[in-house]
Amino acid sequence: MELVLDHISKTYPGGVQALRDISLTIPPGMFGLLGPNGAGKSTLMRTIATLQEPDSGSIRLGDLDVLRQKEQVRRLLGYLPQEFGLYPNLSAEVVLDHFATLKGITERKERAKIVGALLEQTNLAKVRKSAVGGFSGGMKQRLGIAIALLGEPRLIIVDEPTAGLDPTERHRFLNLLAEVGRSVVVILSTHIVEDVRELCSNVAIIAAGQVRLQGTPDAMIADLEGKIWRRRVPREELAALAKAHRVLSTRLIAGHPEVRIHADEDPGGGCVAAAADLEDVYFHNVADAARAG
Amino acid sequence: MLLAVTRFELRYHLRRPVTWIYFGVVFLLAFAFISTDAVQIAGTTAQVHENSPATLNWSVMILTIVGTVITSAIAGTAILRDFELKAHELLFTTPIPKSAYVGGRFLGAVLVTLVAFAGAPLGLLVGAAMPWIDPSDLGPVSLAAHVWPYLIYTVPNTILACALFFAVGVLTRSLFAVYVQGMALFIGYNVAMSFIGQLESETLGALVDPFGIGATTLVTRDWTIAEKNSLLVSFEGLLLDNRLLWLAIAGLIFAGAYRAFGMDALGFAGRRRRKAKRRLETAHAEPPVQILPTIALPTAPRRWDGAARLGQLLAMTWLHFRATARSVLFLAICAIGMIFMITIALNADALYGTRTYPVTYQVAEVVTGTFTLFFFILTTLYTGELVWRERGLRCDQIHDALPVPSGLAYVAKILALLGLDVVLLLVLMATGIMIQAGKGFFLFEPMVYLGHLFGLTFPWLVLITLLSFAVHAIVGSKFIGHVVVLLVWIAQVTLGLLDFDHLLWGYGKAPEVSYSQLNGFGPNVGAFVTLTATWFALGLTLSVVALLLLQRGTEGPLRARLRAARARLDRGYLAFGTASFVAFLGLAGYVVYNTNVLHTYRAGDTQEALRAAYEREYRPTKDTPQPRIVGVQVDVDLFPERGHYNARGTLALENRTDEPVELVYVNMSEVIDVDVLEFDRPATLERLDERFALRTYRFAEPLPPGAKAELRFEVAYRKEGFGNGGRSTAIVDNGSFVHSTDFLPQFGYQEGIELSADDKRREQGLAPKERMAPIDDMKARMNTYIVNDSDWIDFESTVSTVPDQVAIAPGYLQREWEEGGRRYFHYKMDAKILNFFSYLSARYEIKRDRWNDVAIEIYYDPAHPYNVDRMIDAVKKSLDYYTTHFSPYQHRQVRILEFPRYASYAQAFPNTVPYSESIGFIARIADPDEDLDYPFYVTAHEVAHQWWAHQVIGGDVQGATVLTESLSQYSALMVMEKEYGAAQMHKFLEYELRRYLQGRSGETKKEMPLALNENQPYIHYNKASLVFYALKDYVGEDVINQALARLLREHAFEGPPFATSRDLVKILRELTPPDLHYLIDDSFESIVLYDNKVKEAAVTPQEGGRFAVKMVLQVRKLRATELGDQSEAAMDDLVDVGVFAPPGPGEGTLGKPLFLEKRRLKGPEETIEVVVDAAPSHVGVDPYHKLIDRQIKDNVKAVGP
Repeated sequence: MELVLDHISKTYPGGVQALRDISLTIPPGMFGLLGPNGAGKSTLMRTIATLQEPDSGSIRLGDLDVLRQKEQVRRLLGYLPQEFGLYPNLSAEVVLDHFATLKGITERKERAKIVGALLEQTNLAKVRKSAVGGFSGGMKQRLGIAIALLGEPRLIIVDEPTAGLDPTERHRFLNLLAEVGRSVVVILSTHIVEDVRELCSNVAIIAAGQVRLQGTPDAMIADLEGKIWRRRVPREELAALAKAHRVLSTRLIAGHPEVRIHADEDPGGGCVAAAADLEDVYFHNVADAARAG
Repeated sequence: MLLAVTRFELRYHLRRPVTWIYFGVVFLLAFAFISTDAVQIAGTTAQVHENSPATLNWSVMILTIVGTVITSAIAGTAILRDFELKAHELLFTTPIPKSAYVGGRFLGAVLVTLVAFAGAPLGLLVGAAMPWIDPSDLGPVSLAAHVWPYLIYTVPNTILACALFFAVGVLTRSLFAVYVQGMALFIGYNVAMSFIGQLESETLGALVDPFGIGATTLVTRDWTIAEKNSLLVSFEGLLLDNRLLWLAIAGLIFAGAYRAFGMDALGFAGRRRRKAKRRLETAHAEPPVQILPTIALPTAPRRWDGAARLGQLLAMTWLHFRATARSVLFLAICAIGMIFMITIALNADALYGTRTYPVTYQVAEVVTGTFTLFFFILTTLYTGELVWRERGLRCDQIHDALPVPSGLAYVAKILALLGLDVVLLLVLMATGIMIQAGKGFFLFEPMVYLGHLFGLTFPWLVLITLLSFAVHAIVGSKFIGHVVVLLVWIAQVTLGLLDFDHLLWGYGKAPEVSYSQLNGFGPNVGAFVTLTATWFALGLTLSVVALLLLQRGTEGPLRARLRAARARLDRGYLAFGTASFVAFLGLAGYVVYNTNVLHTYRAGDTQEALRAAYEREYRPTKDTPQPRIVGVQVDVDLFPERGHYNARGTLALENRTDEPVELVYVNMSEVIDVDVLEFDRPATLERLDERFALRTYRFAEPLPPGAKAELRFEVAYRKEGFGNGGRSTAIVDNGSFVHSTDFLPQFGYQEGIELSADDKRREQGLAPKERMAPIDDMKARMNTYIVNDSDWIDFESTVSTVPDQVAIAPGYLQREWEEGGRRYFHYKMDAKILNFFSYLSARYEIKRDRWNDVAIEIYYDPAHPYNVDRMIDAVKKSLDYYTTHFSPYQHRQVRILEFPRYASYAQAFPNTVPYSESIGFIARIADPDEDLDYPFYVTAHEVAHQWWAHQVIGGDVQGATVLTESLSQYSALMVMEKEYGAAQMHKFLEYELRRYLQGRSGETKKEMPLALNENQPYIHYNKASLVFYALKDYVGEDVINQALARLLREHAFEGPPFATSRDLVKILRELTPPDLHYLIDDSFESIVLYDNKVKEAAVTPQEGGRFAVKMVLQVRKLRATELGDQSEAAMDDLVDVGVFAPPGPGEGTLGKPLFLEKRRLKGPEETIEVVVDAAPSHVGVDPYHKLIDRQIKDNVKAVGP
């Protein structure tokens, strides 16, 4: 089952153009949606998750018209928004059980089995009886993914899921996603390149409401191979350098700035050729939008 | 620092548009109060100026209370804003001291609220200046009168409310709790008002009312028209105490809130939860990193059929219900409800301080009546909470992406709220039963409870829930949703006041269903069900619209939702929406068919215009000679089960004028079908004016003076269905009470149809009119004040009813028989009676007794045996007293007949007294020393009417009611005093004084002296009680009784012309010694009040155990004008002066008199010295308040030994 987005555009009443003519084809498997804050990721996610209407364009999930057959799509959907809360005075188990009912698992015993398994998988089994209101960010996030995974979804949309997680939690979370994501469409929206690099077989980079690049991470990196240069510079020279060359990023290595430059030829000045990575691809593609922002 | 925070807070609020919206709302309300008829508070009457200080005072006071909603929003945000915006951690880490932060926020909130409330005086000021206001309704503009109430109500109330809202906000960290607590304030007010209804507890009530309304009521309730137009409420006494008390409480509350407030991340309320959270986290520390083995998640079948949907519905309903029902707030609401119910029910239906048996319907009616506001607020608040619950918790996106139809979630929330209502109703029912048991009454009637709570209140709750849910869903925002819901209800009330009074103008409106123990839920149940179904259909239609527009996902603006709605509108919505709308139209059509086709409906103003038209067109016929009714023979068939009756018979007529009668104007009630109307001589129907059901006949041969004629008639009441006010309560299943005037033809111009209120007359372009003809209008005296087309008549009647009921008409039962499945009673009167009689029919229990040769019969409902013996006793003692002192009784029978509480009076027909179930049958005289035996008193009063009305009756001029009502009052007082002693009389008279003073305060036109009163109940009942009791005290009971006996000798069965109050006053004056003539004048001919007071009193012990008492008295006599302007009057009057021993048990304040004498006092200050034999505890001037005095508490003063 493929998810096909065709010429999706959306302008908010304030005049902000959030999505500009986005067309994407998303095959089963993990799909990374990379972009800086404000790129339109969440708008796109909500649109796919039937929560928002685009001004134009169409979205198809397999045979389903996502914009028209919302109810059918929702039966196949697992959605974890960027920011959410849950009924604070109910326990994790009750919350999950409730959502399971709402996802159509009406048989009490079946529900209990699935709820138990999901709590186990998300490592919440020990706190199943605790009120959700007392959960830490990570626990809440995992409960969220448990909800999203209820009812064998064919389309899973997770929006910035690792934002508030510590490394352990993040790891566990991604693991779980990867496990589920082998046979269904999973869209992972994030601005953390690492998440995508580790998990996703397909990636789209969007910035300022447009798709800048789409493909497999390897192909994307291959395109930049041989065009990335790095160099250590004193702080004073950073500004001048940025004017002269296309600086993708500046990192601190042991307290000293090191810039990465995109150039077809050696820009000189002591530059060393560097192996391209996905982050370079990302910065390369969002640089314009970032500068504008 | 404090000022800086305050300034910041002020600037923040003043820049928000919503602050100015608040201001605007208050301004517009105030503007509407004063410049339109739509909103009427403060009892402005024709004589009280629209901008009188009293009106302004009430307006500002009420607006301040209504505005508490605004206060809660402002104060709530002031304290909770930082937490909601999650800015508190930033703020609390700055070096603002707690005092500056909390104090500044508080001051800021108070000031901003005051700014918003400044709209009240301003709106009133501007509203009064509008050109469309009749200048005669306005008094001089007084700036002080606008500012004063703002200072004494708005400022302290705002401080109190802000302090409370702060405290609740700090403690609960929840805006919702702040709103609920606002509700508690209202209830405090209601509780206070229920105390104020009773003399013993009114001071307490004045103090416990947080808004100061109670205290103001106590201070101003006696204000006359003139005072209302000129005085500012004086800030002293009870009102001052109340204000100080509540300011102090505000201070305490604020101090408490201040202490509880913590400048830390979680403030106050979070602490407990934070601890719990920490425990949770330590207990379940994250296990070490591990890559979990891949477990295939179990799969489960998923279902989307009806059963699955039902399961989902129930799951969501249960979730919302449980979450809400378990919250502390809901428990608090239940507790508030219980307290509210107990306080209201404890004081329910007391009359003269005497309570009733707590029968179930009375307790249940607290819920259907007083609780309306409570439920209304509750529904509005919880609707907002539930509709926006997911959004508030920020799980709306997860929720909206679920495969659950929006309608299902929506319905689940409605069901959850209704479930909460059910819980609350059950709690209230249990409370009611506890109240009954607590009062030692164990006759619980579960069906009556269920009928009220789940038959009447619950359907209404369903309706308002549907509406407020729909509003919230359509509006799409919680705050604006609340505002719109409020506006919808305000608009409804306003429409009603603007003569849009048809049932269909008000969502949820239905004819009133009133429970009677005789007649159950009565004749309007069908209409109630029909209307409820109608509104339910509309509610469903609205719900469909709401569901189409309900926000799902993140598209909030209406335009986007409209677009979504178009996409959503599928066949299901369309079919359901159309079906419910068609059902609504059909039902509404059926309602209109009932009210406008089967019955006649006229809006208030249409009706007034019609009455004006009658006056304009027919007033000229007023003096056309008409025949008089001299005999009535009528047979009536009552059909209680169908609500119909028919009547046929003959009126014996006579031309008693000295001109020939040519034209006869025959008036019928418009609800009566006329089958036959036939004179015994040739007459043509010249005109049938359908508008007034008025027939004009012309005799072929004019009826010469002295000639007799007959009018044969066959009429029927056979209305089906219901009218705008429901069905007739006169002819009902059990407990029919049909008046003769309901169906008998009446002759000539009916002045009673004319509009009487001057402002209504002005609206219709008519000149103002006097209420009654002047006392010496001989033409008016040719009629009694009760009927204008007959004198004393002969009466005979046969009445039939269903076999299990007894039917009664005046007269003596000649024969009783059954025929054709119906039961017949033939009555015949042996003495002349007024053309004024009635028919009753019910399943009665009958208790019989005798007094000499008079048969006494009480016809009562089997459930009401409590006071039947008292009534019999009262009849006997009354007959005893009246026949001894006045004249023989003209009948051989006294019958008391219970009728349902659709009206609450007793009325004396010849030898027959219909008596409402609500004014004596369930009175509970637990302690005869304490409780006033009002069934006894009412009975004595009605028996007295057999003399005062049915022997002597006044002509239709001023003062007429003195001869009937006032004399009956006096007679009943005498019988009661004999039975219960003088102490009970003093208590009774205190109530009478209260009612008189309040009555004159509510006067709409002008107060008249007793002898000239224009059918003004507060004068002819309440003032008359006081006046006659004082007269009796001053000139002696014998003298009064001689006078009354003589009045009967000279005027019984006399007329036309009929007697007037002058005849009585003349006799009284003749029999009274000249030095007391001033008392007769003061009592009957003018309006006199005293202002007597003990200023100082001192006691000096003397030798031999005696005590010298010296008292300084203030004595003033005041004469009041019609509008209540008072002026000092010269005084040389006899006034009681007394010294009293300490009270013994059950004696109240005053013990046995050690000295009691009438002294002639001139005033203004008198010093009196006496020596008494025992230690005094009180001294008093007019201590038993026999004279009319607005302030009787200061008539006595405690003295030390």
